Amino acid sequence: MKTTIQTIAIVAIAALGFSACKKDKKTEEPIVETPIAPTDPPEVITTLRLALKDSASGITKTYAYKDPDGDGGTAGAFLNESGTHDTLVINANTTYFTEVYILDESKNPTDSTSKVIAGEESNEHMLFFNGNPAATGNNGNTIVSSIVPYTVKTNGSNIVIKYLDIDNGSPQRSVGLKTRWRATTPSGGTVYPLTVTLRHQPGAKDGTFAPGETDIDLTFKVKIN
Amino acid sequence: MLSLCQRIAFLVLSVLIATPLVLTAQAPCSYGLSGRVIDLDDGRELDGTFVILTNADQTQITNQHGIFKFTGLCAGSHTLLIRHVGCRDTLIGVHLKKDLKLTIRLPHSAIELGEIDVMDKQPDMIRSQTVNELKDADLDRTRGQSLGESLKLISGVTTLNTGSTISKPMIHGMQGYRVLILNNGIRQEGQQWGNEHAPEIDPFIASKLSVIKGANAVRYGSDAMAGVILVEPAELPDTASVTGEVNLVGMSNGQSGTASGILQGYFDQLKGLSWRAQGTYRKGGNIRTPQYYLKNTGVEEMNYSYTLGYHRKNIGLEAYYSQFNTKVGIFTGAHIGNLSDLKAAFASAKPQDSLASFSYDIGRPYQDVSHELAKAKLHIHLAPRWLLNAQYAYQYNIRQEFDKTPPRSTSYVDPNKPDLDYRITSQTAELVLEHLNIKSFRGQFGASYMNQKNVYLGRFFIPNFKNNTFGVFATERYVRQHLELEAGLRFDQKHLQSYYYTGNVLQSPDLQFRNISWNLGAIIKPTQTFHIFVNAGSAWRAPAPNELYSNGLHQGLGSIERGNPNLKTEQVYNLTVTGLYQTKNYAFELTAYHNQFSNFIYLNPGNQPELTIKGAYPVFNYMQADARISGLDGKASAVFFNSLEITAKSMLLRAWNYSIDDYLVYMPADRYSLDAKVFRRFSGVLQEAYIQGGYQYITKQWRVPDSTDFAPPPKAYGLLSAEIGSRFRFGKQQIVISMTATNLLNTVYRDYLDRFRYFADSQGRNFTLRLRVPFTAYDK
Repeated sequence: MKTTIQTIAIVAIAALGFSACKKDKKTEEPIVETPIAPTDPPEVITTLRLALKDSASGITKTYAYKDPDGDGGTAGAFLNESGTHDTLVINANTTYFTEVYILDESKNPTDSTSKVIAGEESNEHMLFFNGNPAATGNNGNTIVSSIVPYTVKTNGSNIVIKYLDIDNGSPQRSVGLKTRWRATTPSGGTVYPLTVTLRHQPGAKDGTFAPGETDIDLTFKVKIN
Repeated sequence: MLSLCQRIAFLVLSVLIATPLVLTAQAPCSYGLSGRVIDLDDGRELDGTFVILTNADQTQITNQHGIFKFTGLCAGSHTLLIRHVGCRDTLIGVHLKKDLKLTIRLPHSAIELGEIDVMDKQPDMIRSQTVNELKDADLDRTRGQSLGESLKLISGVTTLNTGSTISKPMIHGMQGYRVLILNNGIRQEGQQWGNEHAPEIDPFIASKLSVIKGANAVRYGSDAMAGVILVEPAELPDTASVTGEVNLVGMSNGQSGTASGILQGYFDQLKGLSWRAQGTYRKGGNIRTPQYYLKNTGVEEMNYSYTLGYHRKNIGLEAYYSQFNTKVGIFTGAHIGNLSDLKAAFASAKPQDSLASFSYDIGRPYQDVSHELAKAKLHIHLAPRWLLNAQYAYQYNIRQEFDKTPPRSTSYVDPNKPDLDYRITSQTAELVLEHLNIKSFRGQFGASYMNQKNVYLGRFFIPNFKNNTFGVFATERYVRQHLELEAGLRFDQKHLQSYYYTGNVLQSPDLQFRNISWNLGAIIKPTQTFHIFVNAGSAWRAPAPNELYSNGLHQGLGSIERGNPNLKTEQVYNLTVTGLYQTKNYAFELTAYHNQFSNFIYLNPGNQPELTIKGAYPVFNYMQADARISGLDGKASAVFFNSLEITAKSMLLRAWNYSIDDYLVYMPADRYSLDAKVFRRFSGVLQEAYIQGGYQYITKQWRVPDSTDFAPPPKAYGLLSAEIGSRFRFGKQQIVISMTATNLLNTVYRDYLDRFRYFADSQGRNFTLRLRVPFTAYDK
């Protein structure tokens, strides 16, 4: 009898262990000699582009930061239409409608992350524009309005930035992909920093900088004529 | 994580373990077991030897003629533990049907009598090194903890933590590649390269955890620089029986539960055939610091193993299979975007994602890790005193890591695909020829081979590679009454071929390494109670693929790491001296060690943070330097009035980087501990009871290189713990139960070697309830 118990136990354990419970993760394993090509990497943000449309002249100027191979590897660079350039030039007492584009240009066709941020995940993201990158968070600004429409005045450059878009959350909050900029004082040759930060705040977005983590953090420069 | 099938398997296993609790009738208990302990080499009678009847917990000490005697024993199987100062513990299984008289030859023995069989068949090499063991009651105290946390009871062992759920063992300040873990005799080959990659081993498979401190390259492989951790299961049963054990552990912090069971047997019709099945399931939720819960710090783990053994007079065969599966949540508040986020996290009093309430949910970010091991082992007595051991093992490790957020981009096909996905397959083979006592000499000659391949499926961090390692070794030992001498030599060759892309161009660098390692040792035994162990040795390791070629963002650590393809072989020379004084009531152990490294590989912080689209990241480059690590491990214990035991331990460590003329980074701070235990044995249903209190003090690690860390090292802290436990016996049935409280005062602290220290406090008060029920379902 005892041997029977023992035999049954072993057969049961062995059957369960050796046949049915194999993990099925072994599928699609690549060959050692040919690693998965870098053309199929997971998501990467390569590009942030600012398009400033002068409401008076109707002319749009674009400024971008591009890091085609993502983090690490070759370092990225600031560019505008004419080459390497990180200084935004705007006129005082002129209204600009600014749009932010966040792209993955390593994909073909180019993948637009900003579309997702503007759409289904708008209640998880918020962009911040900050006049003093040394100050933590959003402290390099004066917050003019903390409710919709979120409005700040950047320190130093004194640009009033008013958010024009709202998210799909409840209560609805500003996003920052579409903003209206207006500066009143020429900077007189001084170049001020201007940091663009994309905060990812799933389940925690409350209209402030603090919750969540940073997805994008780039410091441009700005000159006001 | 667990498939339905796995859950069912586990349930079946639990039921099987639980059913045989019906006990057989108790036999009369009037037998005597006596014997004589003599030295194997010179036939000398050994006095002062501890002979411990482990299943009845009786101890006898041999007299001047080496004689011991137990009376009033029950018929059936008993296990004797023979412990003599300076000798390795020997276990002997005895089947008692009549009064029995034994002759036991220490330190190592072949079969002496028909009725007894020496179970400890492990070759006892490199004896001049300090071996610290955790077993029996000490091991019981660690049940329910991870392997790394369990080993912390051993002086000289600390851990590198990522919160309280991921814990990598560190020996004398060295971890990862420099610590070799032997899981049931097989070198553990997982994804060791990450600081947040814990060893993929279920500590419940072990009946003994041992740590051999100091370079041990000759026997175990050239890269055993800091030491070796041995995870050893009990020997399979060798008398007709079905026995087992159930362990249940509950912890208040994290509200975790662990259930582990072993069922094993020996066939009486099929002589020599034995088997074992073992399984563990563990689930825990959010960890609580003294002031808040940490979001997403749960864990779920399911492990199992099977062993089949066959032993005849001159031959032994063993087949073993084990699987380890874990899903570990990573505290969401420790997942940062960039350097500014990290600084903000460190500046805030309370971390992001600290919670007021508890949950078992494991969400992103998390790790899902599986490890599979299959092994076959053969040992043959070729001739009197000549043994041949051969073993082969196959290991397959999958490590999948999921970032905090699933990808946002619209073109991404499968958002549930892991962001990092590594699979490593290792095959190892070893052949060892051993001889015992030929004119006071004993030794081993062996060869080992390893073939390994690694592939990645997700984001690139380390390359694909193929690795072939071949080694041969020889060691001899000369054993006399007051002196033992030993010497060993090993040669290894390693071939590493890696594959990765630079832009779109496939790179396939091909590297060859070969080198020699050696060791020389002596044991000086002026008296029976005082021994000195001296061991000098060298070890080396080839740079690993991540140290050579990693290039990218180490998401979990919020830093960019860059490999250095020009790294050379790292080499260490180690000297370890241990003094051991041991009497019935007193034990003192002091170990002093020095490790001299050339080309020590480490991560050096870059001067400038690197700018990425996500902001600034600190950059770390792999570099080499000449370095030293030296220190002292001390332990003293004393028993007063047969009922009070006081134990004091200390660990001091100093490390220096010669090339920057500053301290080595990430080294454990000095620490001291004091424990007091009051115990009493009884003869009724309650067999034994104890109460224990302990205090551990960890000093501030101020010996750090200048301004290379994100934040200064945390301050010193002290932790109070308490434990109460007892052992009951109902007829033949034993039950061991204990309750432990750690961080009793709910002290708020952070540890220098915990990566979460930048973000959150360490674990608060925790109560652990442990229950161990060994059982005999059937015993002939």
